[in-house]
Amino acid sequence: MSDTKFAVITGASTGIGYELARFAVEDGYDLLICADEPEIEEAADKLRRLGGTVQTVQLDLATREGTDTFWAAVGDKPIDIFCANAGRALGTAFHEQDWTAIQRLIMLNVVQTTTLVHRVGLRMQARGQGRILVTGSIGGFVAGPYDAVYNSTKAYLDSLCYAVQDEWRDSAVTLTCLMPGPTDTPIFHRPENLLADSPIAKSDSKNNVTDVARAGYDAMMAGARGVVPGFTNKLIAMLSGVVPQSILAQLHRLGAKPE
Amino acid sequence: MTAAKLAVITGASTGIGLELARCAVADGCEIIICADEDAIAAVEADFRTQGATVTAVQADLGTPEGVASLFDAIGARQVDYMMANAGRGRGDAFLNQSEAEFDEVLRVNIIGTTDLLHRTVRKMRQQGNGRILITGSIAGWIPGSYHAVYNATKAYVDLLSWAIRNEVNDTDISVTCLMPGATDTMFFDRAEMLDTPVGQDDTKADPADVAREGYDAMLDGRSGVTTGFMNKVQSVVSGLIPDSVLAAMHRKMAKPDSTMDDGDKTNV
Repeated sequence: MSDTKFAVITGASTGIGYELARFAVEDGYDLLICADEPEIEEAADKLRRLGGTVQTVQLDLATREGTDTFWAAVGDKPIDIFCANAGRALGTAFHEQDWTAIQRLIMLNVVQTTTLVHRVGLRMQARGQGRILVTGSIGGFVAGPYDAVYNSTKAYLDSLCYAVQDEWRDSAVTLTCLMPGPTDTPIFHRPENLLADSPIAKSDSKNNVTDVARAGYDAMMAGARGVVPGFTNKLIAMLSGVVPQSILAQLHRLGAKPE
Repeated sequence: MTAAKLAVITGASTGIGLELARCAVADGCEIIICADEDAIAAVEADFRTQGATVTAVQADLGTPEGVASLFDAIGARQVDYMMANAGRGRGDAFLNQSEAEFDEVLRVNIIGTTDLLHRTVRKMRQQGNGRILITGSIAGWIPGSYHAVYNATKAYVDLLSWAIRNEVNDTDISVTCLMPGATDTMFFDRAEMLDTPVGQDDTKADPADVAREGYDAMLDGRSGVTTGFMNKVQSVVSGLIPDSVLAAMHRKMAKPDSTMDDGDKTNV
């Protein structure tokens, strides 16, 4: 059917990305979802059982080839919704991190996201409509000892979103930044990262992933600039403007330093 | 006689980097200077005629080979001061930039700077001491409408500086973030921003003053220094004003004149 709406969501095998995909299916969107792990097929099966038409791509967006292959899979269909959600964390002290892992983190969180938002943005602006949601983080407001590069990549994304949405302020195309706090997703327990031993990974007070994704999805549909789900997170986001980074960094160390 | 301290300065062919190199030479340091352009050889010759001990490395620090060649030049020597200053800007609207254009900014400002700092922190942890000065920017606290990728890279750099500083706080390594505002360097020309209000503004800071403040802050081991009075005001208020408002303020500085509407002009 030609009037079917099309949603593209990266990092949709689990976590916030999967929940975003679920909301899009419930809203009647056809989906293209992507992740770098076989679980993307399980996610697609679950979404199909909810009645969705779901296309999957399993590839590594941390490489330029992966990004290009993904873009080829998107094809030239008009995109109604793009959720640039794929991202990873790394954990542990900067000097103990492996350079290759750091580079992959930057390629995924920064370069790939920028490239796809640029490509999708050009297409949506040409069409005069569309909605983009970028998964940033409140980590972007707080210097992140023991996950330094991750927090910096999120500072990049948060800043980029607010700048580009200002450039698009007279356009019908919207760009929304979802800035979650610590959320109960697999991000803390990926085999390649070293966050599993940190207090924040073990904490049971993380935000519920469905609530976080719902807040992001609704903000995107409303064309809001940004959303920080959860009261404590809102408080942190607010305080980050007045509390010196040296103090914020010390707070982050308490949560992120491996025990 | 104690050996001269070794200072490494990247992006040292012009602007703040060149002035940082002058501060280090005036301080009696041996210097290794790096830039991606031929001009670095002339700067080397100039320092040498002044009697400085200087080594120039011409390399693109936005590539792994470039960063490796700088560290080859450093070799096994102790680095007392590392000034990670190399950076690039790129004006105009995000969607008017080509992927190659924003890629260059990401390669130099984020990947290259992170690679350099990663090697430096490892080296200084082995040495047991050292001082790092990172040229961030007050732009890192302000979403950069019409300079979006650049400002976002500086948000990355500013935050990384504070994070690393915290991680090394039980060592004799210090990390200082220099956060200049608009400074009168080649930057705006290279970023193709000469047609913007900020590019044409003639009250931009003198790079020699900016570098001096940064160098002194590094020697003192301070966490960060924002240069210039108006920049201090901006950096303080940036924490109090919503990002959306800051982005709109940035639009007025950075949007090219050719596409500026009347509403913007009256408010510049």
